[in-house]
Amino acid sequence: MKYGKLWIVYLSVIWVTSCSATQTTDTPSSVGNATSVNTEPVVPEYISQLVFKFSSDIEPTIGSNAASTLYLQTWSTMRRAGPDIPSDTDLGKGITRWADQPVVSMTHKEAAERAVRSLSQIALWGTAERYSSGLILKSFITVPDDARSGGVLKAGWSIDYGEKKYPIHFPATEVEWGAIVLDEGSIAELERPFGIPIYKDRESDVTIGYMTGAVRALMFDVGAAKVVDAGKSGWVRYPAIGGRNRSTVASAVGGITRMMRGDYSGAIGLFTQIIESNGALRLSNEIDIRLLRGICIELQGKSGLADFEYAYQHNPFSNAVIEHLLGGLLSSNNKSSLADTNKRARAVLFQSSTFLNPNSAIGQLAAEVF
Amino acid sequence: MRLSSLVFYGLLVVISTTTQSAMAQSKTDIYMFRYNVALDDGNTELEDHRLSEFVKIIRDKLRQLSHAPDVPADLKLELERLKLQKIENSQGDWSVNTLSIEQMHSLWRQRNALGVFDGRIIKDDGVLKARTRVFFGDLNHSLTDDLQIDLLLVDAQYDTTRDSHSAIVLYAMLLAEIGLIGDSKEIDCSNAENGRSLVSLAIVPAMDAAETSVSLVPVRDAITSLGQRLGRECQS
Repeated sequence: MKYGKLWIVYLSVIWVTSCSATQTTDTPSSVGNATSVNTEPVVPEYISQLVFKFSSDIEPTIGSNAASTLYLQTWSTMRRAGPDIPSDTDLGKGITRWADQPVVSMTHKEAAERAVRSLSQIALWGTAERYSSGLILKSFITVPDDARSGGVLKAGWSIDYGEKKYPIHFPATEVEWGAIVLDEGSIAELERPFGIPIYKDRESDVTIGYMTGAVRALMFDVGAAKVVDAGKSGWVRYPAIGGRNRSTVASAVGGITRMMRGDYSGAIGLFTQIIESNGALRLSNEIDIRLLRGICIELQGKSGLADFEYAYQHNPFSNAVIEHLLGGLLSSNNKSSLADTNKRARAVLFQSSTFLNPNSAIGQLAAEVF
Repeated sequence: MRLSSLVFYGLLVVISTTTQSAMAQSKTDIYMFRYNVALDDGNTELEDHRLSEFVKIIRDKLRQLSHAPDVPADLKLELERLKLQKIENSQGDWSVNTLSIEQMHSLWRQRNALGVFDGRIIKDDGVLKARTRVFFGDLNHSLTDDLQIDLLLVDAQYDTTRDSHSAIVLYAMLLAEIGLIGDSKEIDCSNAENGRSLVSLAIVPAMDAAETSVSLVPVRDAITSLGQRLGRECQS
């Protein structure tokens, strides 16, 4: 069989190749595992939000104007002082940036890369599209995992045990937010081809210019902002996208930004507004917000267990949710070791260890402690 | 028979078996019949448009699934290959389902399908509604055979439409991945890592959709139940 052996070799190569293609199990790089970053995390000089012009095949004007509105809404969440902020607390600086070029078919990975290039810690992007007889804004939140944001987020929650700190991965780094359905009034306002009008004053209808993207906001009122654009100062009355004052997605971006600035009470306020909003908040979004609020409560020295338990009740298969619940139980155990806490932790470990990342430091610690 | 011939034929058998096994695991095509129209106003243009939009947003959502973080590399490849394909007749037109159950099974097997969507467009209180039926072929699902997903073709149901169909697709992938196919009623724990990832992925759109559409509650419960089974039977 002269060519028989050649065929055996040929078929063997094919077989080995096809087996490799189906059995590759490269260790995925997790967004939460910032351990791939070797540089020492640098707490940035300021926290920056990056808002992209929303892309749209059919409605570019609406996408652009809607994003301009969300830009102002997210900016309105920035604060340096408040009745709940101690006077000696410095929250540092906050900036909202505008990305003028939408990227068609953007992904979280691309949004993260662009945010890092523009020195931003959080990005809001999305699309405007027609569906049925209406118009939908689909938005996404990306928190890039790099040294800067890692530095900020690593200053967040961790569990102390012995002499070590066990960080818990930030839960909401790539979020798909619930669709905003635009009503007819908003669509009419957003269809303006020159941009959102800038008026002479708060109540006037005299137009002095148009907001087409980045402006500098001086102050905010409900549904309006005083801005400076091209040297002229005036008022923008922005369309009621997702609510008269602020959409839940803008509040979410604002809440995460406040967390990064150490303004935990402010973040809790925004997250609570989102949870209690009367609009249809998707359960997956609510779970993310509950985890974030729980973290902020823990960082204030109190227990975030109620929020973590809520999240776990609705999604016991999520590594992030399980880690946060275990973290909350460990934190509670650190304060005062109670039989109920032990019992609950053991039950969670028993029910959910299969869905916990085997490399989870918090999971390993919980197994050791409880 | 010489030894080299024995080795040759032995290899052929092994390659054939492994390839079949690989093909059975790599089900990434979802087929869709054109939905039957049950309207009496003859407004086919509107119905065509709504159906096209319906397909587009489901396709967009399926494309996004591969971008989920923390997914094993081989599963990511499968998610990237997920495709919603229209079933066409010999003239290349999107065709309505006229097949018997046996023929549906044949189609499912021949095309190595993950699932087949079929359905109707009806009017409900003056509003267009899509009623989807899902054919899972030989996958051992725990849903009733007459499961119907009802969704109004209105902007307010945009998210639910995307979530519901992606949840069903992910559920089907999960069944295939953990070997619940044909006569097998036992979970194949060798693929438990992918199975767990798929449960984590599937439960999110399933629970979102179930909040707004009661017809998705059984799908959410089926995914939850499978997740619990995986947890019990495939301890890591």
